[in-house]
Amino acid sequence: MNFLSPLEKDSLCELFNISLGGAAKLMGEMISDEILLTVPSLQLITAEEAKNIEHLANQDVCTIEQKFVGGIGDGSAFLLFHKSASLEIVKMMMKDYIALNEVSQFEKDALSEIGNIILNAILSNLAKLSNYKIETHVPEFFAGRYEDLIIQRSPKKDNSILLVFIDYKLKGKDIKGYIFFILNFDSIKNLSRVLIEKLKQ
Amino acid sequence: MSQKKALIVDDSTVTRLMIRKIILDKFPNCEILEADSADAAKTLVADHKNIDFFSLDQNMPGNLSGLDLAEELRKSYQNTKIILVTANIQDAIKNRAKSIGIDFVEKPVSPEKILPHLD
Repeated sequence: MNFLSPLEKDSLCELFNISLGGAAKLMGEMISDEILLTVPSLQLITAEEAKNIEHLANQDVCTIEQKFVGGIGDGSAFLLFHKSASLEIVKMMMKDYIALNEVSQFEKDALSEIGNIILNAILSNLAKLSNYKIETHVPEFFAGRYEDLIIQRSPKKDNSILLVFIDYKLKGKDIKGYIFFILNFDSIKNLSRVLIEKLKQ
Repeated sequence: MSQKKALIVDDSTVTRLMIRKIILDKFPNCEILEADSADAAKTLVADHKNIDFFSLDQNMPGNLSGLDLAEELRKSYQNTKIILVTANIQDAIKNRAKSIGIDFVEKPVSPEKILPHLD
């Protein structure tokens, strides 16, 4: 298993913490509610370990994946909801724009757009903080078993996954979601190295 | 902008729907054209003259981005309001929008963000 030093881990945690603050604000704006975020819990784990993450194993989920390429390497960022919460989130986003009985028709598209906005905000912040350019692709939607998602998206190269798991919760509602990243180990090391150099300046 | 024409280009149906509603709430007679890619937008532009307002997404399927399309539109629409509505807030995108002479609007869209560009 690859290894991150405590300093590397701290620098990455801080980076994602800063980037997510802006993303939470945007999501709150979209659904007109307050978003409660946890402190990022950063784990470098294998695909096998990722499959068994508590609260997600054996669950039906919806995810929006934003692939990116750039100076920090190639990777994917994911916004993930439990399937049962997805329609409620879309209702909150679309309430002024379409009739409630039409909401389900727009579920996939609306979730993709939420993912596009949230994940782009995080990636733009990552780019700013690391001084690297990041190019993003059109977001991709996935609905199915969480395990199938991890199996399909696992990096082939070194079998390491950076899971920066950030739980978020909608205030006063039983809706939880997660944001996580899949990056290969070289990209993770590179990103932490750049951050540490910046901190020293 | 009453009885005029707006073109909304975005691969997200919900964003097109939201921008459409914001425009029509203020200008009920406005004719709204919609495209889900820059290529589809170019076909509409060729078929419709005198479009008064363009709203362009940045990342869309196909070879052209919103900024690429904006550059092409600027050749024949020098004084028309064009906005880039995007979630990508990197400085490189903002700077290129500025150099083309179009406005930058950060997603998520809302009436507060879109309406000032319609006057």
